[in-house]
Amino acid sequence: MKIVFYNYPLEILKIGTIYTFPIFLLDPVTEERVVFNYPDVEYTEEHQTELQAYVEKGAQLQIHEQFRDEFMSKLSVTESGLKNWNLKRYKMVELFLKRQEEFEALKNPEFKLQDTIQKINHSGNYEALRVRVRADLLGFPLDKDPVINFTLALVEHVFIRDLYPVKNAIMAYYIARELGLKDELVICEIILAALVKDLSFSMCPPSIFEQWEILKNNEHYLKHPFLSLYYLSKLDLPFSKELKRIIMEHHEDTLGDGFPRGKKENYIALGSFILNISEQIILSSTGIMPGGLDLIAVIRNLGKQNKMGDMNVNIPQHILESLNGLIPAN
Amino acid sequence: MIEKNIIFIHPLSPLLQKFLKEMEEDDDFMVFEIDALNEYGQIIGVLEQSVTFSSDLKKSRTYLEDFSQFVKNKNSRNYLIQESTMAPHLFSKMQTLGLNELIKEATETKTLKHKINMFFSMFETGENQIAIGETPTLGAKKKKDNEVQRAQPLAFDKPDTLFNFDKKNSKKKAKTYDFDNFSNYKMKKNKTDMSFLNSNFSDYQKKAVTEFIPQLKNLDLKKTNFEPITGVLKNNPFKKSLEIKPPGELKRKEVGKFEEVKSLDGKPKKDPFAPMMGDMNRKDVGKFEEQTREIKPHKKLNLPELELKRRELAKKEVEERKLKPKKKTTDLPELIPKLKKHAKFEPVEVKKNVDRKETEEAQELKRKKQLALDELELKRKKAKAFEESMKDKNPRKNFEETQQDKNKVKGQEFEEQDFDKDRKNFEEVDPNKNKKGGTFDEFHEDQSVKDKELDLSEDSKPKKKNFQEVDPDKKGPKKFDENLGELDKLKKGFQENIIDLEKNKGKFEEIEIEKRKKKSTFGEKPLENLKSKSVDFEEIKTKRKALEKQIEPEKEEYDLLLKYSKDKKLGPESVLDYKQLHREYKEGKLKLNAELEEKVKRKNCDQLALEKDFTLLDFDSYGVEYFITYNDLIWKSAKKPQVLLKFVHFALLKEFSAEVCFYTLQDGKYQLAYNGITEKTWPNLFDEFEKFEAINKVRWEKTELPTWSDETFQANINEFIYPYYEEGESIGFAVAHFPKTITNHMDAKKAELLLNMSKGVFLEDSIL
Repeated sequence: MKIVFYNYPLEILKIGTIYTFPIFLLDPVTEERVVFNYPDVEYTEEHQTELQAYVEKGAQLQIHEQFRDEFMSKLSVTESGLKNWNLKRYKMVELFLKRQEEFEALKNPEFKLQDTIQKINHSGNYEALRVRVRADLLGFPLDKDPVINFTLALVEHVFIRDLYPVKNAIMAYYIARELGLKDELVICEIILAALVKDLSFSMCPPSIFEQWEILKNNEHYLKHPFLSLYYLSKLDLPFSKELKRIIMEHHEDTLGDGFPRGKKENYIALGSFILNISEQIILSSTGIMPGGLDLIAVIRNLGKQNKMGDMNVNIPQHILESLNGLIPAN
Repeated sequence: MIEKNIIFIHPLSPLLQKFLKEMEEDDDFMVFEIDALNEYGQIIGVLEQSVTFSSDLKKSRTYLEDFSQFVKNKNSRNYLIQESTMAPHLFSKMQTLGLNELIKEATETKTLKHKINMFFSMFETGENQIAIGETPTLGAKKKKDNEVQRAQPLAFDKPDTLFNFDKKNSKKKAKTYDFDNFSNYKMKKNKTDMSFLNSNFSDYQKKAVTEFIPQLKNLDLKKTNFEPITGVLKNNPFKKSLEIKPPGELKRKEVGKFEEVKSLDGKPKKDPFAPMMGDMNRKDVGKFEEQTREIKPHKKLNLPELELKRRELAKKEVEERKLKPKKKTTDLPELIPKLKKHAKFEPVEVKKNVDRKETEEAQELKRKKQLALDELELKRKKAKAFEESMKDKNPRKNFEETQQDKNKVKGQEFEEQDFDKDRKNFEEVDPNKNKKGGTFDEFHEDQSVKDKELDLSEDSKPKKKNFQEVDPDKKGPKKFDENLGELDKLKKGFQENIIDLEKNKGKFEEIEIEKRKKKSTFGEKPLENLKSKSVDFEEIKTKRKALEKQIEPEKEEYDLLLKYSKDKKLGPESVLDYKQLHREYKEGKLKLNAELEEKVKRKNCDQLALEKDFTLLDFDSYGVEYFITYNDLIWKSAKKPQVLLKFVHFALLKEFSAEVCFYTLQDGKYQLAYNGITEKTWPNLFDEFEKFEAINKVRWEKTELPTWSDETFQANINEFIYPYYEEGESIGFAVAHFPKTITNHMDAKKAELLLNMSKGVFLEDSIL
């Protein structure tokens, strides 16, 4: 990620000068760009008047990075000056580089998933896996999709402790990757859904979270996928329908006994299944939910829901078993 | 007593008709019925307060647009009655025009009456203005009406607003009032000096203030807003305006230019000399060098574009063929005798008959088989020729003979140009015109893709014999010697002929098909081949794509080379050694002249302008991280509501340095459930909190909607009251004070969300 065009103000151009670099003009609304003046053409008063008119209409003067040095020396522009004129881009690149750096630092080539899972089985400490997932996610591009950016911003904030939604997201990520999902946006949607699917817990009376039996019959809890979507809608971000669907259906089950709509397997998004499984694993492993989940059977069912691209249904048995180890016996 | 004017604009829907009758009976109201909108203009101008009903969308829009100065104010209300709801974008457009509400046809008339009464009651009581220092009553209601628009998404019990993600926020701005004027909350003089900011916040890690406030691109902006200036941009390829061309535009322009040339020169050519072009070897080219140089290189090099065009045509034809109903199939054995019978005279019909016999799948299979067979046959022939040449100990001679044979075949291509018209007719009739013939296959397989295109002119030497065989029907035999004599004429039309040649090359495929047909006429090809040999368009497309790839990168280079050659100051008869030129070009020995250098520079700049920079996207978390933490906390602190309230306070404090107090409704009274104002954070207020509470509590309790004391976010301390409701009944409220940390609506929204986080706590039976 690098800056290709730098903005600069009109005032720095001097009439009567022959510039050896082209003057580009960008229409920020349509994101279209033209060459206003070619190199070695004298910059006249007429040019300035014309440019002034364009700039007043919102056009932006730009210099291509190829001519950056030439431009800076000719117009005596300092690095900080250029940065001030392009603060947003500089910040974004800085953030990206910072994350890349973090990504490189966290990327441990000796990471062994099986061992890590086994350790979690014993200790209940997700740190190793959390660090790994965080590292993986921070390598995602920042200029691809607003949802990716939002997810990464959240990951940066919350992937520092083993919070219940974070564990959930880690597990969902793990299952999604094992199923062969690779698209960055799809992965981010699953992670984001795992983090925000229960936003509306804050609208439920806290006491219901004391006992599983009370919780699963509480009217507020049974509406929570709806309400979480409501919260999400207030962020004014362009969330995809797929993401909303994942959140909406994350408590639906294969037989139609789920909530809030009682949908059946064929109509449930794969992401929702993944979230459902990961949540059950986490809740079971932490003792909140009674155990007894036939994990392998449920994960196998995921294979039927191939709605998010190619996926590998044949999850290695040992991985399934390792996950299964997280669930306490009945 | 005010005049209650109600205007009905015809045509009226059943609901409005019913309502009109009711209103006519009521003496309190003055009813106006309007047919033409100019009447409306006359009436609305003189009425003080009025309510307008319309059930016609177009008329509504017209009167709202035409009389906006009269209808878009607080003295008038505009209702549109419709059967169904309106698209959100349309509704917001109407709203900006001045439409107050869209009412469904299924609504009761008493609802309409209630709306009217509510509207006029404001004027009747004379309290439509908020009196300074007074407690707002009805006036406040008006204010709240405005606030509802902003706060509507927060109302959980409104099903139509729930989950409507696409619904944009209403653009209509909420009216702002000077709340300081009627707020009871007056800070004491010596305590409004922001001294709280000097207090020790060391307990909390303050949020770092970032300079960068990224914002998402406003998708609502019209792209046409950017009106280009009509002045002339000197030295700009798009001189007339800032109508910046999208990537590829230049290329399209070039194509367009070429098409112009083509349309002038590329009329259906019956140039008898076109076939002769093949006879011009490289030495001859030297003679026409001047003309050659005059040819614009892009014309000569636009082969890929020609190819693309032809492909498009071919594609269309294929599609047309697909659209035609499938023909009845007949048995092949029955047909073969017929084929034999007619093949000699009616090859077209034969082909049609063959096609009727076969399904598409069968054809495809056979075609593939035939291609394979052809390939084998070709290899066999080659091997045989090679063996023979070895036997004769004169390989060169043998090779030439083979070449001549090949040229015989290729010569036919140009003979057949004279049958252009006939062929066109044929094409119209024959859906299989593109099918590949055996000879075509041989040729295809024998040559590399590039050779086919580039060596065409050399390969297409027409043979006298062939001319004599084919031409008599059309224009009489053209003797080779005569043709040579006409070469002088050709010199003048060299450029045109080059283009013609390219056209001929373009028609290569068609010619090959023709050739195949002719071959069948002469009985040179076995009949079996006829039924199965067809040109696979997909194959051609793929090959041509590869060809384009080969040609495209070289195009510009070649273009430049031609220009460079001018610098060489070659004589009119000297031969250009393109290899040498290319080598020198690669080595950087060739230097551009000033004009060319300028052009190259400009071209480079234009290309640079098409480069894309990365998209600026927002990367804020919008405070959702607090919800995530809360979700974790709720499992652990299910029985500790105070902890949860404190967490909300913590979030507000960290994000906005805000203090918050929560009040819960218990036993019919609002009681303080959590006080965030501590001695440490706000010592001055902490001392006098009871007084402060006593002064303001009644006002806080009466606030029914989330309310900012200063919606312009200018006040030093901005008070935000956030009431909590469950099933329409108040269950508590929060009062937060922000020390000028809320600067825009995004911040305000974030603060609202954070306060909303504690709603669940208020659902508990007791939190005290």
